[in-house]
Amino acid sequence: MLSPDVSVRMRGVVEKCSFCFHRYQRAMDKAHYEGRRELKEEEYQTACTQACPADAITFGDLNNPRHKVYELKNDPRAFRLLERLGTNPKVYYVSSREWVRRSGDNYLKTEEPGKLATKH
Amino acid sequence: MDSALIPKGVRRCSLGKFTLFLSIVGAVLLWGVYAMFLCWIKGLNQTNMNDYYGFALWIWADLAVIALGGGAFFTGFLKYIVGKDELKNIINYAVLIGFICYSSALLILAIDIGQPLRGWFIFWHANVHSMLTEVAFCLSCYFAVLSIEYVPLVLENRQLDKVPFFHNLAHNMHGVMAVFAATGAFLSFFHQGSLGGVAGVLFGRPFGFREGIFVWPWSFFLFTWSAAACGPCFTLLVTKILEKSTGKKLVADNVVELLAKISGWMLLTYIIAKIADTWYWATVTAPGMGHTLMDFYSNNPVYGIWILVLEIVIGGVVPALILVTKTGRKNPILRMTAFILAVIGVSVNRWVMVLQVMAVPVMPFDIWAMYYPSWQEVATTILPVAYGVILVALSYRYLPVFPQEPKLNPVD
Repeated sequence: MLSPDVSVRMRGVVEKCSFCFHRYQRAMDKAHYEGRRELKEEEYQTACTQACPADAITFGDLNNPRHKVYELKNDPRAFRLLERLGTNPKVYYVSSREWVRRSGDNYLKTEEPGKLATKH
Repeated sequence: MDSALIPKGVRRCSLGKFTLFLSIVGAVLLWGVYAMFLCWIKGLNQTNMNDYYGFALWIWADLAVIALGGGAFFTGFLKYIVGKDELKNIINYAVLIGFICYSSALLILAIDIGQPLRGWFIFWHANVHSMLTEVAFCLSCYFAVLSIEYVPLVLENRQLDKVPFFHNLAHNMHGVMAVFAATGAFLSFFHQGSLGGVAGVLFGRPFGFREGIFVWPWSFFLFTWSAAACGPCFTLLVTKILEKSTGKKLVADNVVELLAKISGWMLLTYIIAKIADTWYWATVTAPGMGHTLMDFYSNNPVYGIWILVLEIVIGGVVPALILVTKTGRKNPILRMTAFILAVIGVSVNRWVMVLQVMAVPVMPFDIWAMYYPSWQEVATTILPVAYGVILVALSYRYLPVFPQEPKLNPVD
């Protein structure tokens, strides 16, 4: 599947999700021509977010307090994969099930994932 | 037949015996060369590396020979900078061993990149964020320094020395050798350190990751320190091996004891620092990432806690205690045991910091990445050993490597 908006890597290179970077560029271009520096939440959404019938994905700027994801990432049920290694991934998951949160990272037997101080 | 080339005042075996020895070692060398060409022509599919586990046996060999070659820079540092003049009796051999180790390291890297024709990429397209870039630059520079240190010895061959230009060149090079020794010590400090730093900065690999100071993880300093401590032990060990195989005393005991004593104190201070580092890592750093110490040493067929004991106690504390005590280092058997244990200790350290780091599971559902080398990897790892034996044999036969040899073994 080739898209004129997305440059693909050569054969044999794994392609990471680009968070629809071409959509981001398009939205930024538009904002630039309109003299704005900040994007509104709905201006830049990934294709998977918009296509998801169950509304399972929320997309936005983690650093922008006006965005929904900013609120979600501070939810006590939110966790990231291997967060404790300090690799700082930008995808958060929300689960109310302890065992799900536990399987997303390494924990000592005595530790409870939800009660640890998080780094985000 | 080749007596005109052999240094004056020493005795060597017959050319026939020497040629026979060379041809046996040469056969092993050719086996390694064959495997090397297989890797270059057919590619790295000749190894058992894969996308999941990308470090081969020879990467360990690379780090181990660099650590063991540390005898050259540290002995040079002691002789030329600190001023331990007795070490002039072993410095030639230390330089030769260093030269062999570093040229082997470069050869291994040339095989490891699979496409040696692109070897210059690391300099031209340098990734300035990688510690390995610094390693590549320092390694190449230090190899140049070792070549400069080795050349005067070659020029002292009886026939070459007759050429006035070579004689004067060697003489003048000896005169400025302190500058190169200082340069070598400086370069070694950084590339030895960066090799340790590579494991220490891997925050995604809890087995290797260490805290540190500024940009340097503790493993940076521990690598430099252990190379300075164990490098001279390796030099002394191969000196003893050469003495055994030639049946001659080549270096006086007081020289060996002096270097052994310094090495012992370096090793003792190193191992104290290493224990402190391991303790902090096991009780603070790793638990902070959700791992217990035993997570790194269980649920796999090879890496048990024995490897930690072997590295730190048997290969560190024991040789250090032998070498710092006078009775220990004066007893030839104990001394030799200490050298062997120190060499094993530093080699195990390089093994775990390279190969175990990559094998430990990181994700909760992950399993150990166990790997065994293919014969091509084994052959290309033995290749530098055979090359080293040949270069030592040739140098010993034709060059005045050991200044004390004529005095210690008078020819009737």
